[in-house]
Amino acid sequence: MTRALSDQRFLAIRSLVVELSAAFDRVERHAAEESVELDDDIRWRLLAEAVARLAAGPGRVEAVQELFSDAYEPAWRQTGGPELFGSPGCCGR
Amino acid sequence: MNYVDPHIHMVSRVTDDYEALARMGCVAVSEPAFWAGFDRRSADGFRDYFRQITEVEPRRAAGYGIAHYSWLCINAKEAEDVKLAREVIAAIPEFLSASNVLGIGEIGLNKNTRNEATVFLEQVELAVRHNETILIHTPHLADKLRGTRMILDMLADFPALDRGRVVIDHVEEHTIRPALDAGYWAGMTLYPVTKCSPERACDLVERYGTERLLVNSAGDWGPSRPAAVPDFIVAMRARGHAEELIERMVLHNPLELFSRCRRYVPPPRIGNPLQRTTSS
Repeated sequence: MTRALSDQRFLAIRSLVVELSAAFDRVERHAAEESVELDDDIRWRLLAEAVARLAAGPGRVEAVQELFSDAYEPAWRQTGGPELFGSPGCCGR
Repeated sequence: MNYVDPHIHMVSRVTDDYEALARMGCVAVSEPAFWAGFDRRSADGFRDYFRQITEVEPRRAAGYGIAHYSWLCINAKEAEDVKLAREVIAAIPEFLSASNVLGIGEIGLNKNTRNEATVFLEQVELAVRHNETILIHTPHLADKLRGTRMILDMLADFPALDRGRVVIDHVEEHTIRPALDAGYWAGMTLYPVTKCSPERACDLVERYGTERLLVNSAGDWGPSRPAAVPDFIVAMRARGHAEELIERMVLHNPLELFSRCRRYVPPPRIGNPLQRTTSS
């Protein structure tokens, strides 16, 4: 057995995927019970896009991290200053 | 294995945690000044806090054979009040001669606002003026990438700054490379939900090597694990990494950083392991 996918690592990742699957089902079930439209929620759309990025191949973690990040504007000091970059108040903050 | 936790807020932890850390091999901790969970109302409130992390905590730690170091600043969250921040910055030099102080930190950004940036720059200037090492907090979630890049942009305004005496803390997969590429130290914080996990920290060591890389718990008053560095040690061993490599990450690297402060005295319990490594 290689280190790449040992039994221990398989079980750990399997657990994460099962937890993730259950979490998505749970959110949808509760949304249905509460008549909440999930597609209107940016957080739900971000989570769905993050799962799609898992299938993209190497570099997944950077792709997911960047998805959950506010965009960086290199010219931030010339375009009005950092007060423009205050938190919009979503995504867990 | 002897280890150092280079970022932990022991003012928020009970004495039993010192005992537990000592049992797990902790020989030293460093405590950056941070947000206490509420906004303080005066510079004198910070003076009391600075006394706590330069006088009280070192005594508490010494009871368990742990060396306690600290960093001084006004944190990014309270820096939103620029008037108060400037009063605190004016008070910091009163404490810079304390024997356990390693430098200025954890300064940085929280919500990436103009006021935070103003106070950040003024504290970098303070550090440069007093020739102090610097520990920098980067934002937590969606703000992290932007805030980290803004911090690196602002540091670039100080070409004479010795990058080898500056830590960019709380790096993750999307922020570690720019910090290391610019010559700074990078700190990985192991938190239960946000920041890094022990497994992801191991991934980053495997991808980026051990040079200028630190691992810490940032244990504080919120959900956090003061034993997170031992968790990292166990995770690295489970992957078959050599003891020497793990020890470099958790002992030699933080002490090498600390030694760049002119006041640094090695942890009494172990002396200077860097010197022993060099001569052996």
